[in-house]
Amino acid sequence: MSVPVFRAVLVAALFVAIGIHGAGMLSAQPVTPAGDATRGHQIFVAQGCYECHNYQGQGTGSRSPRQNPGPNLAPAPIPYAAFVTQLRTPRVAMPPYDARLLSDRDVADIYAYLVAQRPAKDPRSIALLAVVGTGSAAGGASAPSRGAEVYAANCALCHGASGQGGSGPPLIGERSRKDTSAVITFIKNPGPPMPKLYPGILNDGDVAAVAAYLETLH
Amino acid sequence: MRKQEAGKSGVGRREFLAGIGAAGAATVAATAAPAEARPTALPPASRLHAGAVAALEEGPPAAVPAAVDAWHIASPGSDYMVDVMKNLGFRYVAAMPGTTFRGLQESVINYAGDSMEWLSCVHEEISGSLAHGYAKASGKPMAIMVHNTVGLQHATMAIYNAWCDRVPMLVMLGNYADGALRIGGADVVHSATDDAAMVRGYVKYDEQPGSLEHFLEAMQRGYGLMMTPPMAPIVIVADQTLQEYPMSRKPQAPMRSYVAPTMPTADPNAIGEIAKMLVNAKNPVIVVDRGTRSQAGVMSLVALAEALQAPVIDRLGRMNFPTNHYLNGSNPMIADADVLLALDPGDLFSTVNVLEDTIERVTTRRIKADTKVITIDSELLVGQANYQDKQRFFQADLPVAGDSEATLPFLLEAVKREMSTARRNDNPMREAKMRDAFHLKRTADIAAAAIGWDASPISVPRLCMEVWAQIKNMDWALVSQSNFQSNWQNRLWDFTGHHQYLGGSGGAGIGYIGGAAVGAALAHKNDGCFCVSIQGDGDLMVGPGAMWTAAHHKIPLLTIVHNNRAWHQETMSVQILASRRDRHPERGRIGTVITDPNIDYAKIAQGFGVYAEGPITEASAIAPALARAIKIVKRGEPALLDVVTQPR
Repeated sequence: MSVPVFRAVLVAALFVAIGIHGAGMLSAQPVTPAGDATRGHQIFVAQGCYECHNYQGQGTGSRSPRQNPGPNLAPAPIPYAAFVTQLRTPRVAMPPYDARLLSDRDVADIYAYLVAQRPAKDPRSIALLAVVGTGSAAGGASAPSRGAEVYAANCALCHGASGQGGSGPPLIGERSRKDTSAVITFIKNPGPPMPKLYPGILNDGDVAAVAAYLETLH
Repeated sequence: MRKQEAGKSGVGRREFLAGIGAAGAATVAATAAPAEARPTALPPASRLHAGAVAALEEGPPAAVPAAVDAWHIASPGSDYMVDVMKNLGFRYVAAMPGTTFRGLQESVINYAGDSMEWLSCVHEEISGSLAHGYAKASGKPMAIMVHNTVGLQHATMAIYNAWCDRVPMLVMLGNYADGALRIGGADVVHSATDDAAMVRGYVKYDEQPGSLEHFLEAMQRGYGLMMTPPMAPIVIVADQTLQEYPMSRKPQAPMRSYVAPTMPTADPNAIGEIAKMLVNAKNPVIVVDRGTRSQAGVMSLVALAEALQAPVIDRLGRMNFPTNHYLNGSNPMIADADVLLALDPGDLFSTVNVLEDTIERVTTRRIKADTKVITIDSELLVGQANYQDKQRFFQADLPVAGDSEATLPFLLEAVKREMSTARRNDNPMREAKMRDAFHLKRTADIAAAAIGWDASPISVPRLCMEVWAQIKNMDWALVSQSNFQSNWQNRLWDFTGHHQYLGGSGGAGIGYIGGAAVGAALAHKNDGCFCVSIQGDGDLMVGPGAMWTAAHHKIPLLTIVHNNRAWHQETMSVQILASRRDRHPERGRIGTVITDPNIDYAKIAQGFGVYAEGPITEASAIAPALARAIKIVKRGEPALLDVVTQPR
């Protein structure tokens, strides 16, 4: 698994909280306003964002609904429009922050703080994590397809572990709705609130692999 | 009670006391043992006990020497009570002292000899949580003794936790049933008409024996009840007159060795039906919460999962399934199930549904509409009123009453019988799929842990991995619950033994971890298992005195304070409400954070006689501090490290 895929794994988590219903409210990806990351940090702490998302916005990455108080927001936050939508009119347990609590400038500054977070280290470079096995007690895992790996890390939290859907739409049978090239195009240039993971998180190979994997979901 | 004793022995307590009051020691001699027959010194406790038990087992009731004079009491009833406890296998009694059980305390420390140990606690809630952790780690119940009324009120939270967690515990309290014997003042206000009333909603059995014979019956009956799933605490009220005054006659009933009842297995026909459904399922999924209580149970579950190549979602009420096994599944898998087998699932409703903390309170079903849900659940075998510890109700398609661990071997055999060759041939494909899923799950968790690895405050997964790095090559056990650390331990550590994780408090009563960890560490004191507890600061402050018990009794335990300087769950909860009300979410921390001043947990621990370091604020300082603390624990003492962390 590539470093960008490792880094991207938690991006999907906030997407859980956004849902596809936000799509109708947002016609295009707006330009992300410039923000003051230092001031954003102050607001992030003062307003208690850290309470659910931890101080660097890293969240917990937990799959348990009850034990995932705040999904990860950084280091690669979802698109600004989706971020604002979730903040102002949140889905699931996220409390609302309307303009009375956070001005547009505040939101832009918080977003700038999240964008400014350093990318995560490659886990394989962290000795304490490198020893964690990913195979089985009975002896090594088989090699999952590259696309499945990308899917699990970036897509499954919203679209379900098997593409059955969740806060995002189901992807089972996507092959009958879009051909592979159309899927690739959509992943690279998604409509909100789908996060844009290419090219920052996913490279061309990742996108092609996950598109191919989607064709196997039925 | 009094009539019976007086009638058969010729000397009741009332008469005995009256004799003392009326004429003093000289007149008592006529109804008491001859002076020359009195023991001039106590025989060795072990010999005393052996003789008493032998005499009781030998049979018919016989008169025994009662009180000897106005200044002395021989053969007190509490000695017999202790014999009963020993006969049932009780090794420890945890207690903060209380006058109402002073007779029992004296018998435990002087009469029981080395076969029982008195564990000194500074609060009754600690006594209870200590017994809670001990029972889960050892598989044996511990007795706690609590002062009537006030002591029991202190202990209630711990008893409730044990009840909700289905853990056995013997709660003993004293009382003068005869109000005329109460001296006055505290003696009276620490008495009650119905002593166990305040906890009756969350114990399985309680009794207020009127005689030693009755005490024996109550203890033996209660023991069998509390050790039969679903296990639970029981309360026995030991009347002070029974404790403190001489046995005027031996109980008639012989003190036979305890014979454990058979465990309640599921109906064989139901087991056959479950096997058929599982074998014929396209995507069978197993979910388990308190489904095992031993390594044998874990191995049975592994064998069942492997026979079916079905993922197991462990909700961690216990360590039910190895975390490094490729069939260790994750919550999203439940959505794929066409047959869901739930083994003592605890909160089944929240397993198959999600109900978010939103204003609308919309329930979202996590399983398919046509998923068949099977439960094997000992909860169906006992009921209680008032408290809602059975969680919300979900109607299973095939609810089966029975204990999961006891039923698993039979279910495994039924599944094997049901498996066709074609179904067996299907397993390699299923296995490959499951191995892939496990690989992806672990990979995602590792990736998530890497984010913020070097952050300040210290990342929680970083803390957990620093700890695991230093214990993983030992026989170890995590004796705290992990949910407040986002289950990082269970997500990244390799738990393979049932003893390595005990689950949580059951009742979500804060203050459980400190005592429970000490109790679990006591259970492992002599077996070489290294015990570590990662305990939140909020929990620690409810019962910090547990540290003193660990120091006093030299119980080796490494405590890591997951110090996020808050009752963090509540910080989030209040902030959610403030935001929904559009008023000052930033003030949501008032009353929910533990700052200004920051508490110095290392100093507190040191004050209790525990080796401690902290606050540790740099991740690089954790490893060397751990090495020092582990050295202390390995020599048989408790140690504590205070680590300032991210919230979760």
